[in-house]
Amino acid sequence: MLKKVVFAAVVLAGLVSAPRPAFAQTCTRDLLDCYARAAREDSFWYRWADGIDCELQYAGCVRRVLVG
Amino acid sequence: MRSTMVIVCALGVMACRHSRSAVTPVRLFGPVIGNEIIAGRADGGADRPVLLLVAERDLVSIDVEHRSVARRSLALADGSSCWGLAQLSDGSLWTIRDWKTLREISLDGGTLREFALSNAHAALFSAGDRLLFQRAEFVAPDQALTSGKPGEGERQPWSSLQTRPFKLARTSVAALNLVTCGPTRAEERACWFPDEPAVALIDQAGRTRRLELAGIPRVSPEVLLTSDNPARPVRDAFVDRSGGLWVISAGTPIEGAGQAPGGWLLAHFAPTGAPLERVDLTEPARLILEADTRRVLLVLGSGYVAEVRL
Repeated sequence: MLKKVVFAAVVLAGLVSAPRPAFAQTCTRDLLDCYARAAREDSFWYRWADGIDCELQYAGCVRRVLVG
Repeated sequence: MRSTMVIVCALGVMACRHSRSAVTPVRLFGPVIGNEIIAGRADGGADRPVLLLVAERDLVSIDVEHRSVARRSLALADGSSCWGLAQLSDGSLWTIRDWKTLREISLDGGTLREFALSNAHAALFSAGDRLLFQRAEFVAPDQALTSGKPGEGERQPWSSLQTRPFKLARTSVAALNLVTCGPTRAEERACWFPDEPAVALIDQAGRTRRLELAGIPRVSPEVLLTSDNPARPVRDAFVDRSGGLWVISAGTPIEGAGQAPGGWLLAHFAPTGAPLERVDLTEPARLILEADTRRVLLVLGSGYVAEVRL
């Protein structure tokens, strides 16, 4: 799971750093910040649970942009 | 002198080109909502008010016939929010609170009852006496929608619509597979993914057919996922009495347009998918409230209910 979280963070970091039109990319930035906070947890299970919460927060943020 | 006339003629031609193709929606009343998130919509039919879940915590009732609007807050603790709005054939009204709780609400925003859900859910719609659920699922392909009665644990697959795999992070896959379903006045209703210029037309029994929307551009996943106000191929889709499909799409904003949300293109398709009509709007629109071959009622980006005569 941790590997997946790190992999997702790396992929998203690539997305953020690639040249794009001037959009704020708020959801992606928030996700990276959330992953960074989760990675600081000492316990594997807390890291895992926080990672899931990060994913839901991201889904909620993107849902507002794509659907709301 | 001659050059001045050339410039005047050129400006005249440009102005004519614009006025020929663009239609100005006529405002009827409002604003009924502000520049805020529309988190759900329930439409019980042409003779009932349209209900919107706005800002994830307010219920807005729009009565087109009487040109009136009422707004009520849901009973929510600080930090709580709701998404999705579904009205069953018995008139009951449902939403999802904080991803994992199904809540029945009254028209004045009160809570009637709640059921805990075993998974997080991303969307809620209805078909007759059944609720339609989309789970917040990060793995694809999978069944996009399931149906069930409130409080029943058992769900049935509803429609053959499947979520799609992408070679992207699982969070991005979940985002690109968010389904939206629009209102209908016929047998079928339209459901769509955020990146596709296509809809799935699904009847009450779940029979599904795919309709490609000619002339509406696809938006790449990368652009969708990195934009704060992305160009959505389908912003809203409404099936009229004859089975015709009306779509609000991103289109092209007019020059100098502000930041009002919504799409600038209104397109009409036959039940077969054949393009029938296509008009550019001078104001962006967010929702289609009602449509027939002569007029379309819209909620504009400015929040006004407006009419487009065709």
